[in-house]
Amino acid sequence: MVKEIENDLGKILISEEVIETVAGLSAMECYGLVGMSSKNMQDGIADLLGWDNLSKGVSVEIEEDEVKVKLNIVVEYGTNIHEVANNIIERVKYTLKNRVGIEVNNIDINVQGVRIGNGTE
Amino acid sequence: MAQNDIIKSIDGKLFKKMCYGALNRLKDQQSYIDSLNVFPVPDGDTGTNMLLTFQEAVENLDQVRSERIDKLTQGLSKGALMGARGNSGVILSQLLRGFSEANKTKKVMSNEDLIKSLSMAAKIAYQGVLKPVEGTILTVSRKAAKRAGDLQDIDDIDELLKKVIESTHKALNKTPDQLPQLKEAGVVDAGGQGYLTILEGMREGLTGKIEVKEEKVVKKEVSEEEVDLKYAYCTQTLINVKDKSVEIDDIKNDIEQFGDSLMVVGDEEIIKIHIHTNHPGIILEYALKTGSLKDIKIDNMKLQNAEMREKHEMKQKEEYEEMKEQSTEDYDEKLIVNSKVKDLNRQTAIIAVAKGKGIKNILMELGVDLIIDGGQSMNPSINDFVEAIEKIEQDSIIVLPNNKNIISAAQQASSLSDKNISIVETKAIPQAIAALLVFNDQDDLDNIKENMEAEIKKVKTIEITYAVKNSKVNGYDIKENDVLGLVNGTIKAVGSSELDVIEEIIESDWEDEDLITIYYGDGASEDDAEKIKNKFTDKSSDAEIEIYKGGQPLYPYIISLE
Repeated sequence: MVKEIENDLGKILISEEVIETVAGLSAMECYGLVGMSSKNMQDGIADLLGWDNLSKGVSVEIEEDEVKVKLNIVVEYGTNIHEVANNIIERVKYTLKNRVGIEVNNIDINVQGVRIGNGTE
Repeated sequence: MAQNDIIKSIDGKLFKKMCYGALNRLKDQQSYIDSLNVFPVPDGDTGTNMLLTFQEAVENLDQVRSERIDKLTQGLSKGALMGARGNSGVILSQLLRGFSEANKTKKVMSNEDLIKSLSMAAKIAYQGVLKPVEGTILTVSRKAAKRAGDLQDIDDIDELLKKVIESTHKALNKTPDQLPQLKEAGVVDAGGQGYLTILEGMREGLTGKIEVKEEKVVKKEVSEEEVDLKYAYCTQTLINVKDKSVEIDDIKNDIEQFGDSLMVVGDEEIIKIHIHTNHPGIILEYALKTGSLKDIKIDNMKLQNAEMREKHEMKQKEEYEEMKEQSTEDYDEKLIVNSKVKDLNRQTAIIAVAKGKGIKNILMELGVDLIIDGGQSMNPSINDFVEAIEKIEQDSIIVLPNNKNIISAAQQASSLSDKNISIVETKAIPQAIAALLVFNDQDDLDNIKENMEAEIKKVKTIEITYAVKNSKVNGYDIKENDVLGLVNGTIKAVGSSELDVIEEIIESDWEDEDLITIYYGDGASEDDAEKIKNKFTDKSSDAEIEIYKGGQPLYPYIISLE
């Protein structure tokens, strides 16, 4: 599916992949998020994904006017996970609205893993 | 540096003082830090977020029943973790966690421990992000830590902190070179500034400057006690107002003489009075004249013990805040429909965007059907316009955006509607007022627009406002809090006082105007406006000058010249 934006002169079509990548990139700017994990739940393992395929951790559903984003993330141990997730929601919503021009109706965050940094015992 | 005493270690008491110092500094700098926000974030509240996070951290610190540094830093860290707000808050909580990690099993903090704390703070903060961006609080914390690492041989912690702060400041000043967005806006990183503020505050707490601030608080409590002794009865009531024309200010003036701690808040329907007085009866009698009474409460404050009073005051303050919120909400409502115009059965309706009670009233007097709340830095959304357009019964509508940043939202909204909408591109309130004066309902929409646009060109608008941050525009080197004078949206004068700026504009831009209207806003008084009026009369004795209370925020004065 693609997201359509219409104006006087014509249509703008934005593919799911674009939204996924933008959402993924903007989420990664957020403090506390240390990785995305594969969105394929059947794998059962929250594997850290690298930069190249970060959109794998993001899924976007477009139905008519509704845009839903789901992010599977890994956060740093010792951060306030709830607040980090909130920050990500805010950031993704803001970025998609201002950079891509779409209103997202729903952003779900799946915290699939906690990474324990090496500075702590 | 010949200090009296060298501080060689930080014990629990001193650490607490350092944290209070940091909290105080953060409070002072909150809005400054907020104003530095440019990094693409949804809202500019780094200062607020850091303050709230640190506040919670300090509250948690106060709960710790130990004077040991390890327990205290742990408490601080835990509080920050729980209270983390926003991105910067989460980062701050990690920095504080680093502090706590570095001081495990420590009873007091030595200079080495402090150095280790700073480095641990940076280290842990860096772990929490996938791709650290340089030129942020992370960079600043890292550089602070690096500098501290070179200062192992300084025994005096005050001296150590002083040197670290100097380097932190330098690192902060380099952030614009690292992050293009910062350079563009000519600011330093907000989070980095927050970190520097905390370090500075900690040093203030360490050296004892903080004592002064604590004294202030104590003094305030004493004076409140005196007040309470003077007036014995805390009297409160809600009034269901009979006569809608009652002005809150009038009530204030009338009963002010009977006591103090006076609060009168409310709207057209309901008013709350709170006063400390020796004559509750007089107050109630007076209130009865205004309307029927509800929830009357009279307490003898002399009989209540100090703790009770404190709780009570807090509750009252909350209630008052709540009332205040409600009452401002009322006239800050997104859309205000002007019921007077509705009865005129006009074929063309007018929508205008405005901020400030006085200005809204003036616009409605002049026949605006619906007002959308908004203005500079408070732009209404396209959706607000769509809602407004739907609320209007007429099919033909004139829209006055009154700000250049709002015009495009109005245009987009009009393209979404089937109605016949014409946008007259007004960029300031005086233009809207001029346009409204030539509105003729019998005309067709295109003609109305044409007439209005012709009229707008005849009006010159002077706006006086304050700079929120340092910047360079039009060759002016502008410092934060400078007074800016804009003529038709362009900066024409910069100065330190409102009057000087206006005078400069009068001198440079005078074009034989004969009708001058001054709308004074929040933070300006009628007396000040009179002074400005005099400036104009000095220039031209036969100009007709009017003064209105606009109540607009951000702009102490908007002046229209025709």
